[in-house]
This record gives sequence, C-alpha cells and structure tokens, in this order.
Amino acid sequence: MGINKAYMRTDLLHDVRKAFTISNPQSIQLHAFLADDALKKVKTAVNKLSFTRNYVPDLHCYDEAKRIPKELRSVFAEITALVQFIAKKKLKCKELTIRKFGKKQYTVLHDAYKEKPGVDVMLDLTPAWHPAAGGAMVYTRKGSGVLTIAPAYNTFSIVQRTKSMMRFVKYVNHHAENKRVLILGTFR
Amino acid sequence: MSKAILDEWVSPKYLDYPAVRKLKRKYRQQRPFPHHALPGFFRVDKIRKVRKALLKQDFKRKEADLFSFWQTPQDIRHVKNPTLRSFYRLFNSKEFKQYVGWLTSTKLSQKLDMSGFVYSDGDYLLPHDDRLESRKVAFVVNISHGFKKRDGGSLGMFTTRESHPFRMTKQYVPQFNTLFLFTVTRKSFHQVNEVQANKQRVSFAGWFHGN
Repeated sequence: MGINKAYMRTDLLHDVRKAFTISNPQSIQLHAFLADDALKKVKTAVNKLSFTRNYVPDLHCYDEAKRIPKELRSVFAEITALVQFIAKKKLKCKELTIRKFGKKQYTVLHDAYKEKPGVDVMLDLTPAWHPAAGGAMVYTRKGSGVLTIAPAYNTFSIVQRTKSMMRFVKYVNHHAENKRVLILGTFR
Repeated sequence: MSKAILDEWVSPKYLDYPAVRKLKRKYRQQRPFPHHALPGFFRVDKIRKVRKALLKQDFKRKEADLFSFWQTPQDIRHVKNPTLRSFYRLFNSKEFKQYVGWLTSTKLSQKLDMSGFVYSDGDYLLPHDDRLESRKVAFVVNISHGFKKRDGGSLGMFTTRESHPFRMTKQYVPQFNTLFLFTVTRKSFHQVNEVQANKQRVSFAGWFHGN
C-alpha cells in the first residue's frame, strides 16, 4: 500500500471529494500523503535519478529527471484510482515528470506553456523549506493568482486546471537551503 | 538645442559635444544589443535630492511570475513631491527627449512612462525584452548606494538565439547616478539579477515612446 491508509477511509474520502468540488478553483491538498515505506522507496528512487538542466531564460530554468522510476509508477496506479474518485470521472495519467527547482530556477507564464486543460497532480518531496525562498506553484486565471501551493513535504495536490488557467513556479531565491522536488502529473 | 534644462540637470561632461558625439557612435556597436551606460550622468547635488525624495514615497509590493520588487503605486507624473515633479519635467521636456533621441538615433514621441523601484533582499526581474505597444527607448536611472557584484541587483543583458535570450554577456553592477538607455527591440533581453544582500537597489525606470 503506497498511499497513507487514512486516505483510504470511505468517510474521509467523501469529505475530500466534497472539499475538492466546492473549492474554487477545484483543488485539494492532502498532507502526509504517502505511507512511510512507500515514501522512503520513492525518495530513494528519485535520489538515484539523473537530471538534466532545462534552461530557456525567458521561459524556464529547472532540472528534469531523465526517466520515471518503477517505484513511482506503482504508486501512481493507486493515485489514479484516488484522483478518479475525487474528480468523479474516468481519467488517465497523460503526463508525468519529476522536476527540481533550486536557487535561481523558475517557470513563467507564457504562450509557449498553453497546456490542454486537465487534472493536475503534484507530489511534493521538498525537504525543509525557508518560507521566504519562493518556489511556490501558482495557478492563475486571466493573469490573476487564484491558487498558491507552497512547498510542503509529502503533500499531494490535485487541481482541476480549466482552459482559462495557467501555472508557474515562482523564482527560487538565495534563501533556499534545498531544492524543491516535485512529481508532476496531468490526468485527462 | 535649448540647453537650459539640460544644463540644470545633466553633468557638463555629457553636454560636451565632441565627447557626446563619440558616445553616440558607440551606441550601435555595444553588445549584446545597442545601449548606453552613462555613469555620473546627473549633477550630483540634484540626483541626491531626487533619491531622498523618492525614498519618502510610498511603494507597493509587486509580485508576479516575472518579478518581485517594490514600485511607486502610480507613474511619477502624478507624484506631488516638487523635487520628483521637477525630475519628471526634465525627462518629459522636449530638450531631453531630443537629446535621448539623438544619442540613440531614435525618433521619440511625447509619451513617457516613469516609475520608481526598490529591489530589496531576494527581489529580481527575470529576462524579458520590454516590447509593448509604442515603447522605443527604455531607461533606468540607478541611484543605489554601496552595491558590489556579489550583492546582486546587476542589470544583465543577453544575446539572442532563435528569438529567445541565450547567454548573459554583460552585467552592470548598480552604481549611483548611472543612466542606462537601450532601444526596445526583439533582441533587447535583459534582467535584474536577484538582490542577495540586505541592501536596497533604488532606481527609476520607464520608456520613451515613439509613433
């Protein structure tokens, strides 16, 4: 079992689904998401990965994993069922990537990033984080911020990204003591 | 060129015709894109008063994907402080626009935008080219004190490859009383490096417009 057992309780799942449905934009954050064993396995696997630098100065700067480890794929089988239940529709994970954002790294809002709408998921493996260091995932609607997801270890976020929404990762400044590690997926 | 307002504000070395003509010639050859970096540009007594007046203004926190800094809530043209109004009048004068237009070989119109900025610890402006509507010549008046390269806050300029900024090949450390001018084009990619010290990078910035 990869996901924390508490999130498998039917009563809690219904509460989570309700909270997701009534929020605007539709979103939820689940803390202490992976069970200890699964978290350890995923973290160890991610730590072993090689990353490549993606840098186009007016668009983005981040490090991206060259592959997705099998330990993560097996957890994502469970995650798919959970996301389908919460979003109340049949979905498939269409995109999955692992990115690290260290000092001086970011993404910006740009036409080049016009993504097809979908249900975004984000598993945060960021260790302790300085609150003034930046690095938040910010969702915007017509240019205005509508949701900010700050770094939080072992937290799983689900966001229904509509056609009018875009997202960016806020510049990480010199106060950062670690890199923000994000597993990012989109379900459609 | 009527010089009264220029004489009042601009250091004599930048009004000496042979010297300024040399500067004008250098503009197009500057890399990675045409620009002027003019240290000691304004008369020191005047610019000191302007700095003092600017720092008494209210600033509004501005945060977006591209930037993080403090900005005057309205364009300097609306500010009531007499020193700042007088500084704005210089920039908005026919004489100064003629001077800037001549130095940059650009035809300018009446329109001018000007705001005050403070970048504090952790603030930055990511790479962009400034292109919007009728902007022709961008300017920055740096009035920061005590910056060293390691403190950040430098104005960085990029080469361009395939319509994107590619490599930062020039950096100007914030230096009190320096005027920067550059023509806004598809290649004028620049940024303000993150301030990495407990210091304030203080400046005016904006655009001279054209038709």
